Amino acid sequence: MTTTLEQLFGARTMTIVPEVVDATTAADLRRRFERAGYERYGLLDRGSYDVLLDPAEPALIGRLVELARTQSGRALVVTEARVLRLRPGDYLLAHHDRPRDGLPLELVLDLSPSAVPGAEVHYRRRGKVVFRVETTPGALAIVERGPSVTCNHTYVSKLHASAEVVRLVLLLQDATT
Amino acid sequence: MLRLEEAFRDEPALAARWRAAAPYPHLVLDDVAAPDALPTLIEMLEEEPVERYEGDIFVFDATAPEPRTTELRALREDLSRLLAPVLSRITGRPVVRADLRAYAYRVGHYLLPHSDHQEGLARALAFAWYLPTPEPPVGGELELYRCELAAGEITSVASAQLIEPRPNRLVVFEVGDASLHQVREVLAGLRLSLAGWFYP
Repeated sequence: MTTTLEQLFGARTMTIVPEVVDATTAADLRRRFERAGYERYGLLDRGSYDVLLDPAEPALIGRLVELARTQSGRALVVTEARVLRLRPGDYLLAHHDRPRDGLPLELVLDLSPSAVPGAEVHYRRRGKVVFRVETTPGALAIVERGPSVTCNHTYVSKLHASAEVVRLVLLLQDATT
Repeated sequence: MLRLEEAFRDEPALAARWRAAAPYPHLVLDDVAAPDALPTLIEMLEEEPVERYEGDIFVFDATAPEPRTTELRALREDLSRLLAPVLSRITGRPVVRADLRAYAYRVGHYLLPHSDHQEGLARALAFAWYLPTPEPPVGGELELYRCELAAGEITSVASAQLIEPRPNRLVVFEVGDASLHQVREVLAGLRLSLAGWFYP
């Protein structure tokens, strides 16, 4: 099996679709996630955040997959789904992120109640930030991953005492693989 | 200029404190330099260019890894010459040289939890010497964590020590897989330090 340069460097798709969900829908989702129950991740050399694995939101997830199909022209299925909640002092470091085989798409739907300055998702290639996703409530980031692209969620400053960042993160693979 | 001898006079007591310190060997020494040495030191640092550094675990302003001015290079050599022998005796970790950078943590700056230990770098002891600033920092404490490890991976973490960055305070700690620590976010003021590592 040969490896192409595209497979090595990946990340051809890096885009943000604004206003995918409205504020009322986002607030409903946050309430449902809260009821479903987050777990705290506290291995601080890697991250500090709340996580909810496999959120039971098939209608929303189906809509996002359809959007990603339209954007990428690829037939895709969800292989991982989680909700991340970051509060002041929280973060996910790049070495907590796993390398991704193939060229999966990562979708990040921002369900935060309001924008938080400096709270961003960074996609990196060989350590350098190549794509920044600012906190933009309701927006969807679509990023093609690959073996050389890593991701981190930046530190949420304690200067923003009431900040809450909520992100639904999906990993999509080609339906045929 | 540094006159650090007084702070290190009682080596057996310091060695005992080092061994007893938790969560891992460390020392906190106050008033390490003669107070009249500090203004000269600050004046010297004003000549050294500072840049903003930003990564996934840190945001701070710092001088370059290799000092640009002869004065800061001389200070690094002085620290190595004065402290390496005494720290070797106190800590039982033979060290001979140090590197040194000046750090300025402004409002919103931080350094998230990490161990300093990296294969191939041979860092044996880490140090930070806090300097006076026009506006003392709120936050900016050095926080040490107690960790459990399995197969070289950290499997649990708990906060164990919080060290205030008081002017003219020197902190030295052992570098290893479990020497997890962070600099808490500075919420107001300015945190100035000289910091680096001692090497075998």
